Amino acid sequence: MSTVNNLNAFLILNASAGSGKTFSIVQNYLVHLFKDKSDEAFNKMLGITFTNAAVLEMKSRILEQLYKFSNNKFDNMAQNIIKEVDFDKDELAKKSEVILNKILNNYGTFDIITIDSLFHRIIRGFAKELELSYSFDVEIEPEIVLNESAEYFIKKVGEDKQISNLLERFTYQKINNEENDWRLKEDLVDVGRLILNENDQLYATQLRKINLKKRDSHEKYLKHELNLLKNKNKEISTKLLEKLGLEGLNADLFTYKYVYKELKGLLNKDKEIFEKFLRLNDKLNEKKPLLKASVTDDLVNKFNQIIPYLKSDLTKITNNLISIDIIENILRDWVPLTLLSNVSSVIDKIQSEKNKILISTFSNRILKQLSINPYHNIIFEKLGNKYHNFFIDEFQDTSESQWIILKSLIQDCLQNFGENKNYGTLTLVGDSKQSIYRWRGAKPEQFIEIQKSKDLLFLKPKIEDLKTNYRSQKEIVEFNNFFYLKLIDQLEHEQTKKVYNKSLVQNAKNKQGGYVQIDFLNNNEDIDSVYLNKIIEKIKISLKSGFDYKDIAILVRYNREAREISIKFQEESIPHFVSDALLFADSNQVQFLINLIELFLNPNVLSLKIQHLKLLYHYLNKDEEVHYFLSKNLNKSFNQIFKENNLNFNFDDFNKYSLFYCIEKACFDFPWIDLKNTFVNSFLDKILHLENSEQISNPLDFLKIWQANISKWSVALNDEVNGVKISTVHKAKGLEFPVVIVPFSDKQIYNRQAKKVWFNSSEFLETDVGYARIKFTKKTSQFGNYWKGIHQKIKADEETDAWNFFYVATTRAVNQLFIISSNKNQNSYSFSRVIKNILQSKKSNEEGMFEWGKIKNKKSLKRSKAKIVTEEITYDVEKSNFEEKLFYPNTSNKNSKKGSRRKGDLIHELLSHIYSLEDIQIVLDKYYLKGKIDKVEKEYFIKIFKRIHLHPMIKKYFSKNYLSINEKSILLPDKKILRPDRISYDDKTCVVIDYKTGSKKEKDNLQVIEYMKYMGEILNRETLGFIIYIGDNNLSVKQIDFQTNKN
Amino acid sequence: MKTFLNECIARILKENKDLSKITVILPTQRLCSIFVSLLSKEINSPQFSPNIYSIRDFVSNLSDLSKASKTEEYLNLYKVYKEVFKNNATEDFENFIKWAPTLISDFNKIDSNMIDSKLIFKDLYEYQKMENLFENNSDGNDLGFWNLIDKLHQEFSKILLAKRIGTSGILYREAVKKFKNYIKNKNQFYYMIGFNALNNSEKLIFQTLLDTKQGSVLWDLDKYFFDKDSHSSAKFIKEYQREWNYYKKTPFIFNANNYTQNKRIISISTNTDYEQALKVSEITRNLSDNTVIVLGEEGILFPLLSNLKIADKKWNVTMGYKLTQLPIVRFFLAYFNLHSSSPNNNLKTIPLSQIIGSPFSKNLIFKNEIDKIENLNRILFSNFDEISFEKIKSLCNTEILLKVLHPKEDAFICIEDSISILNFIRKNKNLDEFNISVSEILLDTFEEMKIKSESNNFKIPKDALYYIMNELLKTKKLDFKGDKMNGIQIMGILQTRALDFENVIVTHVNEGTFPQSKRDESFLPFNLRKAYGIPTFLEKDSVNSYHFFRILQRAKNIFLLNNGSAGVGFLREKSRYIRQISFSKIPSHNFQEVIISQNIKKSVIKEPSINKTSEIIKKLKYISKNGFSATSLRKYLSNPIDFYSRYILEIPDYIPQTNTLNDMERGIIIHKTLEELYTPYLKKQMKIPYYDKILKKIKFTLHYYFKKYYGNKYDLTGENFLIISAYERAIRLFINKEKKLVIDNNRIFILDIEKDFKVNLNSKNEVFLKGKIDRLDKFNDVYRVIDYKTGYMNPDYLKYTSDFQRFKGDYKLHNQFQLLIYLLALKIDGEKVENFQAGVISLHSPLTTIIPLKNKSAPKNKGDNSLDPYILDEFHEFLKSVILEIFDKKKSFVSL
Repeated sequence: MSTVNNLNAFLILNASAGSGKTFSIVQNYLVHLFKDKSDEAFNKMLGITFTNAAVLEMKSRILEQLYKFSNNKFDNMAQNIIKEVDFDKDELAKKSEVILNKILNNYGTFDIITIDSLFHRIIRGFAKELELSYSFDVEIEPEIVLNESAEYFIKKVGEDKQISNLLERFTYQKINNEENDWRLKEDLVDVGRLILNENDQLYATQLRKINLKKRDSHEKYLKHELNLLKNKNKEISTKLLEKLGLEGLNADLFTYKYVYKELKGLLNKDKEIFEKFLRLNDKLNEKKPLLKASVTDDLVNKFNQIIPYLKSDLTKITNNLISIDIIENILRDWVPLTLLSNVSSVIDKIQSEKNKILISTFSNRILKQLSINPYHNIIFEKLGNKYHNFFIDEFQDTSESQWIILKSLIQDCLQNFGENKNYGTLTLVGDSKQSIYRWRGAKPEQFIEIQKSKDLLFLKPKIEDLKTNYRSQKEIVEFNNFFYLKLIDQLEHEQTKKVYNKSLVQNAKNKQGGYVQIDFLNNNEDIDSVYLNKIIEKIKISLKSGFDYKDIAILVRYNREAREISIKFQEESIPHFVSDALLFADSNQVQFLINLIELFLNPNVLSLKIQHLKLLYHYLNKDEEVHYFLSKNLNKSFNQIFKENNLNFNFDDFNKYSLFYCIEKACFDFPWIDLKNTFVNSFLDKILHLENSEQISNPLDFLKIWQANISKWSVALNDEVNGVKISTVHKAKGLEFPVVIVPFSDKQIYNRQAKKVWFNSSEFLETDVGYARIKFTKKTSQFGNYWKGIHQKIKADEETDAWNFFYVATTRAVNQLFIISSNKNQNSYSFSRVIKNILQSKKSNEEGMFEWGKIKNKKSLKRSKAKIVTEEITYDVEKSNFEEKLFYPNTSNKNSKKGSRRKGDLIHELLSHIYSLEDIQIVLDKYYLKGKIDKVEKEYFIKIFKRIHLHPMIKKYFSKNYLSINEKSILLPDKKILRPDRISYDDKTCVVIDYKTGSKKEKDNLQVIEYMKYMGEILNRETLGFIIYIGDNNLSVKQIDFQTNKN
Repeated sequence: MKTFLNECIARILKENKDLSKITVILPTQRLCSIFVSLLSKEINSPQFSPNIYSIRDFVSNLSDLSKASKTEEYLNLYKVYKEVFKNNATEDFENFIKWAPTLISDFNKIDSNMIDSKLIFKDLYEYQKMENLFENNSDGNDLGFWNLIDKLHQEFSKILLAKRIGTSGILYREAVKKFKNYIKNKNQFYYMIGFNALNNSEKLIFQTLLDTKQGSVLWDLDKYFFDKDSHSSAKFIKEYQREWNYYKKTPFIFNANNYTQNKRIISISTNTDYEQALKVSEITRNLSDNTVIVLGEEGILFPLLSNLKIADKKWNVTMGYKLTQLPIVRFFLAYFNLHSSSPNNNLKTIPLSQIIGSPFSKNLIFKNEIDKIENLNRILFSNFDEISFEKIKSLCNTEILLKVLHPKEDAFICIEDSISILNFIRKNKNLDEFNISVSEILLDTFEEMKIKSESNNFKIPKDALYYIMNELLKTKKLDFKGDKMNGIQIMGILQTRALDFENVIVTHVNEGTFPQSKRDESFLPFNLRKAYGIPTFLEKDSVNSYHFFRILQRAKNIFLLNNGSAGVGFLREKSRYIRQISFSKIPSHNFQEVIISQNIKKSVIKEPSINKTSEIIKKLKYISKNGFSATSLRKYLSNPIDFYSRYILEIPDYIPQTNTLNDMERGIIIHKTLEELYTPYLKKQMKIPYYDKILKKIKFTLHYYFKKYYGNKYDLTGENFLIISAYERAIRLFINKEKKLVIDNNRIFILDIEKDFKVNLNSKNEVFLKGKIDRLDKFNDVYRVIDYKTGYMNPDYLKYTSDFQRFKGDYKLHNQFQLLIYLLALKIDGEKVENFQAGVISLHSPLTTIIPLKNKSAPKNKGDNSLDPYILDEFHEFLKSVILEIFDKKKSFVSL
């Protein structure tokens, strides 16, 4: 298979699941590398993926391939490349080695990165232009910022009149609508999300441009309109009732009091009135008799005459009801949307205050920069790289604005010639069937559109479909071929059909093997627990056929399903792990530590105390009566309780040490906390990180962040654990597992929840009040064609997303695939119904299961020996006493001495620069200039130093006749180093001079004598020694007699 | 193993008799003292030491300038900035400090590389002009900055030189000027040892010394790296070998070929950073003293130290212990922040709450003023941006509080006061030894700043003080004691320069740390830097690579730890160095990769169940006699252990303090308000004017009770304001609705409000039920028992059946239970409750008037809400059984 025939400028690879997507993109990348004459083409190449894992995989694959080639190992890819580039094997090996070296030594330009980090780099490069600080941090989770911005607003109530009014009105509106919750915070946080969510950004940006005043007048208009419509309806109904009355057509003549019922209902403000009218209209249109059979012909005729009026009136009413509903719907979100621009600027403000940038604002910031700077190629230039070859992986996950940005960056590079007159190239790899990130802004339709368009980038793309499945074994490939081909007939929307009609059938690379099993559970009250038992059953089948726990993955839709399975597995002691669901908060040990912090901050809160006492009771294994233990300790301080139970921990430490120190100490002090436990040390890591990055400065700060993230912070995943992996399909994207179990495959395809939908008000109202957002319910879809269209689009998206989700799930398996469905939701468009329909033509086995292939029970599978060893940390952790051993006991230097110590050091330092009398003034001027001494000190030192130099006993040695060296080190063989303050010498004599600022001590003499001894030895001269005692106001010089002391 | 320094010493001793005639230049100060100690081991007789300088000291000596501190740099640049830009100098210090470090570092690069600053700044200006042109927003302001930047540079150098200080760049520039003269006059031979990447000044100095035969440069580079094509470690040295004149004549000598010797290299992937500390501790247990632990990130030092087996070995920690996270330091940072950022007599609440809210200040500074502090804290809670000092003063005026909070006139007073606050803390004698040491460092720092700020040359603008102190305190560290020469050394990678160890442990061998991430902070665009030969991230990478591989050269056992978890956020990738090693194909290297397995055991802790001791029974009897409330029984039913906590141990429910009224508090205000509003009409038939009077009183009454009960706790602003006005609105709607009913000729007669009851449930034993009924009235002919509710009430939860077991564990049915108790109590009291109606009035649905208690099986649309006569009897029996269970000694209080 050769995917790269020539180096087309624009290549699109359609890569269904398992078709060797990474293989192709790596091969493509390598071909570009080898084709280039230089060995450094990689620094002109940019690979873009969506996840960190994909970056790692692509990088590793490229490097490993090069390494293989350089070791003369030529695989399939090597063959392809050789064909493509016209190399022989030796050349390939040689060039591989060179390139590999170059990459590893210029790794910084080996740019395979996620789209987020690319944008991050751009933003950093344009910090000044974007008015950002040079040292901002990136924040991934927007929650805290959003919460703070909402709080900020609410606090503004009473301060800012305009905002107060708006919010107050909003609350009233909620009361009038009898909404369950009056809290505004959530609504304001939602507004913030609109600003950050790509899917809403376009509308949000437009709305932000409308100022408060205008919004106000729009609101008045809408309310006015609303009143008008309501009055109109009242009027029409009243008139109509009158008319009917006049004609003698009273209510009793109608079956079920039709017409009357509706009109009176309208006047009485009944609920679900629209639906009632709709039904009535239908009845009228279907020309079903509304009057009772017993009604006289005369009256029937009268009624028939009225029907045209009735119809037109009812239509008017119905239309008005629609307008009323829409306007009321618009008004529900009016206030929060009015605050959009204010919230947005608060969000900006908070980001800049925290010196943080939300990752979700990346695209918008860059777009802003692009719009003012038409010369996009300098963007890359400024970052120091100039790219010619672009590789974008998982293109179907690109959002609209991401593609706009990428397009404009790439476009310029493609149009320019490279240094060696090559055109730039672009390679896109994607699969619209695997797009499952719509909710995050991904726009999979782009991938389909781009394939059709001929003039994008002024280039015609060359499109290749990768047809071979390298991942799954034969039966699995065949099952998927069968299933998704049949699925096309079951689909309800063109959009989804487009996704599934192309390039579905794959060839299996593995010509045999594989197993697929589909099981249907009977609908049952407690179906969830039946599912859980079934999952375990399937796991047992796999284990029996030779697989290990770690080969098995269970793919689910929601995190809560993952947790449910996890709980079941805990009961059954099945080794497993759940990605992102191993919450810190789930660990009792972490809970204990959190409880400790809470307790420190609220020492008198009894409910916290009792909670902690219960934990202590548990951990301490007390055999006394619980009640006794609790009531006895309830009024004691915890420091006392700890002490009584031989626990070292003391709450006072929180006042003296950092939070990390205290929590770590707690881990050592409470024997039941295991530092080797990943929950515990991840938790510690978190605190350490927050402290080191100065995001928290005390326990309270931490607790706040903890509470905001309690359901988010989780233990990071490590693939090497031997356990069943329970993962959401979203997380499993791009991965493969030997065995895959897909339970709960009976959900409805369409979402039941109402969606909020944007629409352009001008398409509906007479006055344009900008974009509006309404809750789209089933009712809304009955409002006419415009709304039906929206409804269709919503459903089409939901359908596509649902099947893509299923597609990704069923294509992860290598050897075995188990799908568990049930009879639930058989009556609606659901996975269970479709699966059942598709399988109709197949025969089930005796147990009612559908199978592809056969299962073989083996002892154990042959598997290649792992290169990488797994180890545990085994030693016994205990707290070291490093504080005692490694810190200077500074306490010996009492304060009283501090002043004079500084002075002494200063005198020595000054004198070390002074060789002769003239130096004194110069050196002291310098120190004064630097601000190290003040004027008084300067004068004082000059005076005293001059006295030294002029002192009769030593004056001579300070003169120019003697060479002087200050603070010169003297080396002694294998001993400490000596450093006399001053040595002056001429041909015959050597003089050691030492300055002392303290009181006279006996050991002073000994020190100088030692100096004299060695100086005599080195210089081989007669040696004299002096100690100069420098007091505050006095000066004395003492000559040391070497000879006398020597004895 | 012969270390590089030993090799150098051997060579020096071989080449020189008189050591006083030579000068040795080393990369760091620390190396100088190591070098001397090593040297003294190799000599036979006492002698003068050679002159040994770190390159920094050497340059400083040459230039005859001393290195300016960061503080001096910032303050002087700020001063110059104001002068040069005059009216255009719009940035205050807070903004200035955002870009100043980048600019100073650019200046340094330009100066130390001897680049013609005029030229490069001109090019920079042109570049910016071009960009601005493209951007079409040439408002000139921005460009002005780039135009004046050269002037800024010149004036900045001038002002520093006048004080005989300089940035490191200026020091280099001046050193080069004086260098030629300097070496002529000294009869010295120079050894430059252990250098790698040199700036242009260093290159000039080194080359001159080589060319004039007055020096040699001793490189520490293994032949392997030199020969290996394009190994980034060799980048610089190779360049010198290629380009320097000296090496064109003199061959480049390699002494070392160590890297390809036998080595054991283990790469260890951990799940967390903390695990790296654990693993290092484990590794060091079996290693000799000849070991270095290189910390990729300093943050891990603390966990490492607390896990090492300290007693077993000697240790030396090169890096100090960072102080910024200590509560005492945080306190002073907040203190400086407060006064730096508070211009007038107003104080910013954020730093203020950091000061008075922190446990440290509560326990160690304001211990005697704790009430006042709490009071103040509450007020801060509800205020937003600032608070006036006058207000604080009126609340608390003790000496120490005023010392801390009194607005300061200028930076000097602020520093002066910080000293007296610190002395106050120290006098309290609550500090432990560790914190005393820290306080001493703080005292030194503050005193030094005080002395400095007294002199005219060092005027600190008040708004700069926080940034200056923050910067300064970041650099302060508590030193460790240890032995540079012996014991396991713990250091950062930069400190390993020119040192060698048999065992090398490196942590954080991840991209981003090894090498550091390619964050290039500079105003000079990449291409401009390239053109002028100023290092970019590419050069930085090579420097990193050199340091990393150099420390491996002579090592025998190498442990490279990295964090292998796939966490959220930006990529955490194994370092390229690990790939380089694994791909390098050196046969004598024994390379292995290890992964630390995850330990994710979770234990399940069961709530203990409480046996009913005689003490508990006694308490229960007391409660029973006093009367069980509906709430207490509900609590027992929903979870017996909660009943135990609440009523046996008498632990109140914990409601965390926030700045908004919580549900309970809202309930109290609303109940009180409604009670007061209806009280005048007790036992009366409601008339329209009554409602009009009530309507007029709503707002006042609500506000009155808010103030009365919670006025000290909360301000009536923000969410509280909204809550109160929402309830006002809701009550208004509700009253209006009732008024409408009366207008429509319904009769409402208020029988009782807040009616207390206490009835005996079981006349044999004293089992009482007690409680309070919010309202009893007669609506037309129906007696109604009404419970007010401030929150939302789902009508479904008021549908009863005789299956009372549903009350167990299900808290949603609380209101239903309560209503049934009320009815039962009325019945026991002798009322004929059969024609009573019971229900909830929820202020969340004020238009619905009453949500009735009704039989679940009753037909949907029937207006009949009267009670099933038997239900209360059954309920009575049920309650009796519950009471029996509560008293049953065999049944412990368990958690459901």
